[in-house]
Amino acid sequence: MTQGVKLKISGERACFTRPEMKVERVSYDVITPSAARGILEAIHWKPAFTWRVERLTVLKPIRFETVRRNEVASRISSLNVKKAMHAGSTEGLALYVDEDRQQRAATILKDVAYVIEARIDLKDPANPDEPIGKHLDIFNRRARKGQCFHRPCLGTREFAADFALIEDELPVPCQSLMGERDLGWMALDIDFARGCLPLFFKATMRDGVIEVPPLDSPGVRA
Amino acid sequence: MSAVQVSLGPLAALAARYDRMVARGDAPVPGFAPAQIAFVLVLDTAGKVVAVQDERTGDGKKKRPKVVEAPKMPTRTIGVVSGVLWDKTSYVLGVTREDSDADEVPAAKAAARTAKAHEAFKVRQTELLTGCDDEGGAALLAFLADWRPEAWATLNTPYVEEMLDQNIAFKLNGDRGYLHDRAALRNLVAGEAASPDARVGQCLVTGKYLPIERLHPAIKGVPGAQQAGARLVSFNEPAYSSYGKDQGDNAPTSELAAFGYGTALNALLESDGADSKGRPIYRNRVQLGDATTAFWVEADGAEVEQAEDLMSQLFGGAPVLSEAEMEAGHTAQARDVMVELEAGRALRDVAPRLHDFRIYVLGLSPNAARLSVRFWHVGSLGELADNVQRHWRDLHLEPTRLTKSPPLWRLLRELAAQGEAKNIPPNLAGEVMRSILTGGRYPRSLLTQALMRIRADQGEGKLHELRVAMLKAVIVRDLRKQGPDTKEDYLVSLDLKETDPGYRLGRLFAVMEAAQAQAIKGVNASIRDRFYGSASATPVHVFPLLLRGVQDHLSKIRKATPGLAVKYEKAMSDVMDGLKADLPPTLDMRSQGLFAIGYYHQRGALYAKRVEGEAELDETLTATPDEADDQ
Repeated sequence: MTQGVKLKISGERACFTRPEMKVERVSYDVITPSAARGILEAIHWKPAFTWRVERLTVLKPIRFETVRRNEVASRISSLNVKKAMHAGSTEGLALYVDEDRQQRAATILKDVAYVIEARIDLKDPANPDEPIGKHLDIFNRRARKGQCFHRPCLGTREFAADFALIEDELPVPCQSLMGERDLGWMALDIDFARGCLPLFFKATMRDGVIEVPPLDSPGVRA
Repeated sequence: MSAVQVSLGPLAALAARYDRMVARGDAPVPGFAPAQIAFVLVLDTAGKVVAVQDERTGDGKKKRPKVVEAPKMPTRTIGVVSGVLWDKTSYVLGVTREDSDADEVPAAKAAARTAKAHEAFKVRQTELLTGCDDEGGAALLAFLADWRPEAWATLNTPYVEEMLDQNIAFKLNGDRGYLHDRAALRNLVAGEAASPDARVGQCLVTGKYLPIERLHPAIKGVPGAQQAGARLVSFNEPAYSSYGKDQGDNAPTSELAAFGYGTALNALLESDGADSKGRPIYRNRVQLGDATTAFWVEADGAEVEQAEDLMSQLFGGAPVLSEAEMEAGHTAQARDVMVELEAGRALRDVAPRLHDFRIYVLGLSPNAARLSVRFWHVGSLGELADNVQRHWRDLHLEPTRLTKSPPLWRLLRELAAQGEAKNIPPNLAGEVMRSILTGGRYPRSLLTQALMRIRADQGEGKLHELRVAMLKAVIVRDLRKQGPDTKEDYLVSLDLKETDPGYRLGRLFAVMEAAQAQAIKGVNASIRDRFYGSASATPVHVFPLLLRGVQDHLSKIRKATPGLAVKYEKAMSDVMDGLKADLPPTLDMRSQGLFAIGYYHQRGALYAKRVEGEAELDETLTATPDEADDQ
């Protein structure tokens, strides 16, 4: 029995936002490891373990399109929400969209499909109640049935992902992705343990495959 | 084709361009300022002085020190403060011109001060360079460790006396630039120039752990943004921040990288002098609707200019020469390449060296204090040339009045109400640009916008050649994506065998309009003015009306020239033969496009042999389809 899982995801649109282009969104060319982790967590996750994404495979050609959407500029503060909860009424707790409108453009990916290969890292390997095998089984069963806690998404919530467990051969990337492609520094994940610190890694795509380093590897941390 | 393709983001690509600008000496560096350097000590890697070079310009008595970018000198008033990597001889060498008139006590004081200065210089360099991994830094430290001020007199150089009290910089033997130009040392200096309270984090451009920029640089030069400059990266509303981060922490970019990309982008958007008519020249920029498009080539050397000039022309800019260039007798070399490309030859054959250059295209549009990225494209110059040529081929229409391929801004103007650039639909320019750059399908809105303008406008420009060309381009490219065996010249000129109802109806409309013009000379409102829109949208209602009306016109023509009337009738029946008995109730957008194309082709054929004001029907009209093939 293998240690890892393989999941194929696809969707009509995706937006893996570059952190520097977050307001007028520009997507990375490929899926980020943190987005892949989010998809796996949507299917199965328990506090006892974390998902470690090892490899990402891009299956379809990389195509972009631009959309413009009306959004809002401010947030409802959590303090106001707390106050409302204590007061027992939502009086004054509102965000008037027509006073706060902002139009934001987004350059998003079209028609995407990826294969995520990941493994489970137990927080406490010595604990006999939480063997890796059990969690892998649960994941595989849920993925086969299409079960999830919330619908997995491709970067942002509005772009829903379709997922399918891969049990036989891995699908092959399309022809135009063959060769080596340097993707520059890509967002790896957020280190929640160190105060939501963003981490980046040097990403290279070889024949459609990106190897993802672990969070504590030397290329990522100083 | 290079083995490794690259998919950088805009900031990383701009930062790389900045690095190349600095290597050429074209760009300011944070922490650097202009300084006057007179002499240079050339060191070998062990720290021994190999030579002393005179950097002064001018000759004879008028020698003046050369102005170079060097680490900024700290403000020096009374106290002893050392510069970094260069300074005057009292600091660098511990020697100064002796004042022979002075008494003993002041002379001793001066000597003590010089010694203190030299000591300060040594300490400062050690502080900066210890632990740095650079040959030049190590050489300087070795030099300072071994140097004694007395050794100055034994330096093997004719400038020994002249050197005193001048500014001295350093150079590593074999380097072209100064010691302070070396990348590692420059980064150290820039790192020190960073704001003291900046947090250190991983930079998303370089991956290194450096102080993070809080407020990104302002980009000037995008028309429509606020005067003070807009920011490419900014988080100025609460909804834009995540994970509780504030401002620049949302997208950690080191101060060095931020300075770099800001400088590079501002330089790209800046104008480069004025042409002979006083209009500003933009070498790396073209305006498409509201999207200011910056483009550049990633390479070094003289061919970069030629490549960027070619890109500018491919995007529709004219090859501009500044006053200085015209005086110097330069011709636009890139114009020659462009002529070859327009003739249809591939860039690989015309200028093979330019083919593999990597190019970047960044479309920006203003949004008050922010800049929005319309599109971002990375590719090769050869690919760009090929795709632009395919775009021209898709646009190609006959008969044509164009002498050369239309630039994108000209096409976009045809889509705007009253031809005003500010009326161009905002998203359209970016999407069309993307389809040209990548060779992908044109946006559907190109089709609908062109049709809308055709319906809305009246008069001569209603069915302007460029509008019909754009309709044809959208339809042809869509067809080719569905089935790659579409003929190369599909819909370029009149196609007598095409049976699509929209196309045939358009042709029929053109014949009927011609008949009306023949019958009523100088008609005020032709059927085109009154019925074009409804005929193309709902043929079933309009065509029976028109066909009744055309009989009257034909009878009038028959009275004057019966032969001509027969020709018109034959033309109409040829077209209607290919139509089914029931007219379509409505035509969808694509068919309306074909209607316009059919109309245009037929009209072109009808007036092809205009002889002194009298419209004559072209022979091809009345030929049978077999004969038409041969012609």
